[in-house]
Amino acid sequence: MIMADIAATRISPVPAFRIDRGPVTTVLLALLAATVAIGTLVDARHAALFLIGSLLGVSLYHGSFGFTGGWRRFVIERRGRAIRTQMLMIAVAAIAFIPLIAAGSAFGRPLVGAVAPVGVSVIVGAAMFGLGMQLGGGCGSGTLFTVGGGSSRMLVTLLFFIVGAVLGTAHLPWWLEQPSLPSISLGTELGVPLALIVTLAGLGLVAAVSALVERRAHGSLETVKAPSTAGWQRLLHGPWPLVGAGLALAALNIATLLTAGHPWSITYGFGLWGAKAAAAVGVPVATWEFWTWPAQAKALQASVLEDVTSVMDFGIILGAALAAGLAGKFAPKAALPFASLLAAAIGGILMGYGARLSFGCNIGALFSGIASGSVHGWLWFASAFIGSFAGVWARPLFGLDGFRKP
Amino acid sequence: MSLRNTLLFGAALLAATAAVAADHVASTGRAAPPAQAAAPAAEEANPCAAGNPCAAGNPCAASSPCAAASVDASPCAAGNPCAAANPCAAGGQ
Repeated sequence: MIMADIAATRISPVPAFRIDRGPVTTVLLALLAATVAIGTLVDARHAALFLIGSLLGVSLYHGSFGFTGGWRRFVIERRGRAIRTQMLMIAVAAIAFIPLIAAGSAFGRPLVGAVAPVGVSVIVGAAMFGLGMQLGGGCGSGTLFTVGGGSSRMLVTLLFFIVGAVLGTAHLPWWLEQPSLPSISLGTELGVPLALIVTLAGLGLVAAVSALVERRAHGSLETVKAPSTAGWQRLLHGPWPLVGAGLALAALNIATLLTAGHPWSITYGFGLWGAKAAAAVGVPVATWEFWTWPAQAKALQASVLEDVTSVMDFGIILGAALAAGLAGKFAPKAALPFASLLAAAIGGILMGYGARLSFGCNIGALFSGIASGSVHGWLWFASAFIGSFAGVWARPLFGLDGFRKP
Repeated sequence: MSLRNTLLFGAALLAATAAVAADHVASTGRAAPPAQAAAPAAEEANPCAAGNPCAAGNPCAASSPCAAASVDASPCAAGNPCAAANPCAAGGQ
């Protein structure tokens, strides 16, 4: 008691932070053990990607950086700060991605962008994803970082996200037979300088429209409240400024491209986990067309620790858990009515299925896709936003807030 | 901090860890046949295959059969190995 009193006196000039010591200690040990295990069982590159994933988790949690809430706030309250931050984040990544991908390699490692065909499967899949993310309460990254923060509702969303992703792999070959343009890379079609100009202009236009809508509705843009913490305390305990978190995510996506050879992606891992689980209980997923394609068959046969997306997803969950513990907000208490859980399940399935059809989620298709100069990323954005609008309308049906309060 | 949610997170973490460990052990067994074990080494030695991101399970293109098709084609022949044998590009569907 005396020692505690002395310690309390010594730190009195600095506001005391309540951290959740149990979860922080457990997660730190888990991060250390997992890094060593992945480095030993696979290689140092995968261990580095796991750590990049954990930093993504910390950034997502401390910045409360999600697409779902930001898009909902824009359509309900006409506040576009989150959307403008998302555009800035993508722009920063694009400035690095487009020249790097055009170069084809960096530091001796081949680089490939998140470039995919532009077709019906993207339109339908992204719209399903947008609807699902409003019901599920988070997108791909949002689901992972809130699961890491100890949310039991989002655990339900994640489970059904995985189910939907597996169902998506079952039907994807049929969807890919529907009308489609080929993959269109702006860097390849226009050259690096023009591709950058077009991409940055497009992102700037979206940001400008969000600002215009906000000014018309409120007369001015939203101001940010001064933080109650600063310096190292804010870095450790959060919350981070939204722009700071967005820039950190852009930097970490660039680090992912340079380390993995491809941009940050999330939902491929969900389909793989579900397929492995289904195979373990006797479902013949290995005979499904998707899982017979060489890269997918190889992933299904290999250890999940060899899958870059999976190890990064594990890192995101643990990184977010660490951040939540450091913020003293791990595993918040929350009521879980049945209707809310039903929305989480439906939303999860829609997101998983939609992400597989549309070549990714907000991260793999929107963030990494547009930053790679792929036209499918823009189509994904438009379709998902329309789906998200429908999702905001549907939320009150499940007792969630939306255009009308529940 | 909710005790129920903390326990749920802990249980999920333990279950996931066990599943990953089981999958890793099982995958080691799956790679046991000599022919399969030799394949990765040959792939590593082949600069075209080793350097072909399309063949490396690129999740960005994971859902695209274009990526799978390019594995069998010669990626060395083109500047962009992913687009080189892209069936989606043929005819524009």
